Amino acid sequence: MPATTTAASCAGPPQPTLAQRFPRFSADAGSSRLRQLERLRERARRFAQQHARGRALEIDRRAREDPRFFDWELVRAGASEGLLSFLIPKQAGGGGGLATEAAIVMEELCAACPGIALIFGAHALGISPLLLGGPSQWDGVLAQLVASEAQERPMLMACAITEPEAGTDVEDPDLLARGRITTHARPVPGGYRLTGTKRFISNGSVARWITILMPTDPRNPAQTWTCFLLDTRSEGFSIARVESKMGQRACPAAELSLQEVFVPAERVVGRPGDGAAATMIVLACSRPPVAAIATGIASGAYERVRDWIASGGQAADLRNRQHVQLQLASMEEEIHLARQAYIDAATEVDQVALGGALRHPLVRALGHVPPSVRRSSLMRGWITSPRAADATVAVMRRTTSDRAVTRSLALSSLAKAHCADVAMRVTTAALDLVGMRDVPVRAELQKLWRDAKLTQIYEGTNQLNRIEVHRGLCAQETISCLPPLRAAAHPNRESPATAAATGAGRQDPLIGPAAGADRQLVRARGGER
Amino acid sequence: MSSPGAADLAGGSDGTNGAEVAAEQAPGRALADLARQIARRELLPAAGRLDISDAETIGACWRVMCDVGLDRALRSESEGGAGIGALDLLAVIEELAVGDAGIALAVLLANVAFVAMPSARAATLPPGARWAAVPVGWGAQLTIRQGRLEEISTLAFGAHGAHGLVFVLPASPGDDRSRCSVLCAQGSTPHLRREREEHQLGLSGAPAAMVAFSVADAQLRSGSSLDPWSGEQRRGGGCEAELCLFDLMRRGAAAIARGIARRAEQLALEYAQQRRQGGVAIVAHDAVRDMLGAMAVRRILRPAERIAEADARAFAIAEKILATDAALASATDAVQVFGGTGYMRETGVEKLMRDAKSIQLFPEPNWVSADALLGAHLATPAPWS
Repeated sequence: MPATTTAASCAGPPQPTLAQRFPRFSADAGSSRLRQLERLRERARRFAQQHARGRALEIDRRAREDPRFFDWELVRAGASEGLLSFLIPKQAGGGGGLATEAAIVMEELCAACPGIALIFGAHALGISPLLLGGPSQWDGVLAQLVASEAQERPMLMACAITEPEAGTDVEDPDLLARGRITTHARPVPGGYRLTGTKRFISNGSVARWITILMPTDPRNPAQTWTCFLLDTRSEGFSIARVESKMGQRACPAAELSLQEVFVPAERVVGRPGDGAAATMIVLACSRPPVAAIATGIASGAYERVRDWIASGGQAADLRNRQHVQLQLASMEEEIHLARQAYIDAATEVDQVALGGALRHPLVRALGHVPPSVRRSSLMRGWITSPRAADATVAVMRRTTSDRAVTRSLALSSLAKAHCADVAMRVTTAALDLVGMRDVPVRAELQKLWRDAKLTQIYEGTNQLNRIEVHRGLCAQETISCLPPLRAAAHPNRESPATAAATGAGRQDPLIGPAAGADRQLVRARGGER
Repeated sequence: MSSPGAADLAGGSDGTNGAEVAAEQAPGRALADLARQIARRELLPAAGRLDISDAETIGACWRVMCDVGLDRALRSESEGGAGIGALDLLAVIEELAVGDAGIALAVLLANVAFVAMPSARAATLPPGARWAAVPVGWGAQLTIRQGRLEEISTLAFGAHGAHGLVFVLPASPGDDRSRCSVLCAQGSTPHLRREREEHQLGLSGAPAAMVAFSVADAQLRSGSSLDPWSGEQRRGGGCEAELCLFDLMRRGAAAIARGIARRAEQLALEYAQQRRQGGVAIVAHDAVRDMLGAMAVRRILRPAERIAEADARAFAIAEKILATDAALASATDAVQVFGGTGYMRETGVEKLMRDAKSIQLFPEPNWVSADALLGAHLATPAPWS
């Protein structure tokens, strides 16, 4: 039976505050942290409303006609709101945000246009491995990114993991060991020669720097998976093609071709062979923002169809239909729960999995060293030394554990898979309410529906994500997510004899005793290791 | 006027099943076989260009349809058609949809248009002319003044570039659509305005347009500058009593959905056997097998083709809901089986998903169809009527 109501009660409510949207934040009401989050969200919303929503359909159309189309004006506008640097550590001049900040920004941007949001999301993903590199990365590319943003000549980053023959394989250490990896970073004097193809790389055709992962020994990919910082102006690097996608077209997905591209040893991010573990941590950090992308798509669709129905006009016959009211209520319900899922996961990453390392006294102390001193050759030499890389790992191992990261990864995966499904359900239901009516909102909803599908696929398919949920939560497994305390012997690293001479592997007086010993990428069932 | 396919669609009372009837109708089966070949040889290679509504490609495909009489297949051979029944037409449409759902929809709309218009008039239309039926259903805007229909405006598949349109609408306001009225409009009439839909989601082989038809003006001028039968209203929609044009469109939508689902399953299965992850073909992973299994269940569990006459309307609606939901689920799963590759346009898998979502909304969204089902089954008018 139709229920009656008034137009006013159907009209879109004013945007809730973060404390209203996430009740757990109300305990922090008035805190500087919450105020910072609100300001960041406000900047994201301003960009979304002023630059993204109004141009979304036009950019989508142009990118469909020419997949290489890219709107740098959007990047400049985003940079003016600090959307390229909010994840960069404060020690490097950035905003110091983590997964929570990234998730909140992504939801705001995606409610306007997921494709445009992905430009900034892929940039953040490119930055993520550098965050794990610790102080050694503060004064390099990260500082350059901040400076370029301030100079209104923004640079973009990307992260390249997927290969033509390995998609799911490269997101799981077990599968990686058996995967068909075709890339290879060949050790040479002074660095590495990178060869192979990377596929579906968001921002790949427009990024200035790319964090790229590949093995130094193709016969043993899981043990030698290594992250490199690649300059896209290097000789031998080219864009093989840019994909024509179903949606999220504002952000190009490129196939990268590498022919013996030289990368100097100092642009190894972290330590050689630590790439598989780094990938797991990066995924734990990046999946909450992807869940927020999906939630933003859902909320964008919901708000559009809700406001259209409230506006009357061609939707006048819908407003009082119980079916429609139930559908809208169901959307509100699903979006609310999705938000709690992604903020849970982001909080876990920030507080338990990664935040401890950033709050470690040694890291904080280094942050107080003036950049001019930090960049002196003497100190720079120490910060970027293999010993310092070992120390960075030791800090991580001291401040968190494999079990904590495994659980965090599982929560992130849970949020990602759930929110992606919510995005599909909500956009599908919204399209059903509009049907074949020729109203402007229909084109926007169709686009959001196309955009939503990608969230079930990227950052690991939903199926793979749910396998992670099973491992981390149902079976209580512990994955070796953290790099081993000492790096494996490697041609470009100091020899065991040198390591012995420099004391690697001994208790570090600055860091304290290590939480564990060297280990391979194996799993253990039954809790803490 | 003859009633091609009416008995087939409504269901016989002799207890024969669909397979037996199909076996007896050799011409229809032969046409379905031909449609399967056309889908494979002509439509699948052109699917990418059809997906961007390339006019030249649509024209070429349409000529193939006309050459074998599929554009007016329900008409007798003496009337320039193929003389097949409605069930055979549905089989033909399903086969075509495996190749391209948009072209399959264009064939459906043309057949509905030709079956709706007077025989004498249909016989005069030149071969190759593409007409399209326009369901004036849920969501269409009707301007009615003093009980008189003045203008129709609606978004319609296949309307862009059609030589003429046949509007199919309830015989009178409040009718539960057990009977239909039709209004015919040649594409050249000034009372018909069309604007191409800019962001068509799927079924682009049947280019959609926003159409507005000034019925009042057309009737005023009838017999002068307009074709004499333009604006004519016909109760029963050119079908004899039981067959409703809306139901033919719904069953056609179901046939298209089945074709989409078959193609999605086929592609997903092939890919799952080729693609290796974790050292084995992905078909060996339960996560993929679950989806492939669900696709097979949806394909196998298709309703019987013939049912009792009294339930023909309810059946058409239920079949449309079931088949289009299944097609969307299978196409979505197929994209998921492909992973990132499936999201790229070159594989053609994501197109199936867009086509499936689009056919789900034709001639009305499924939640509205369900309302109509209750109306047909319980004699309870739908709230929107």
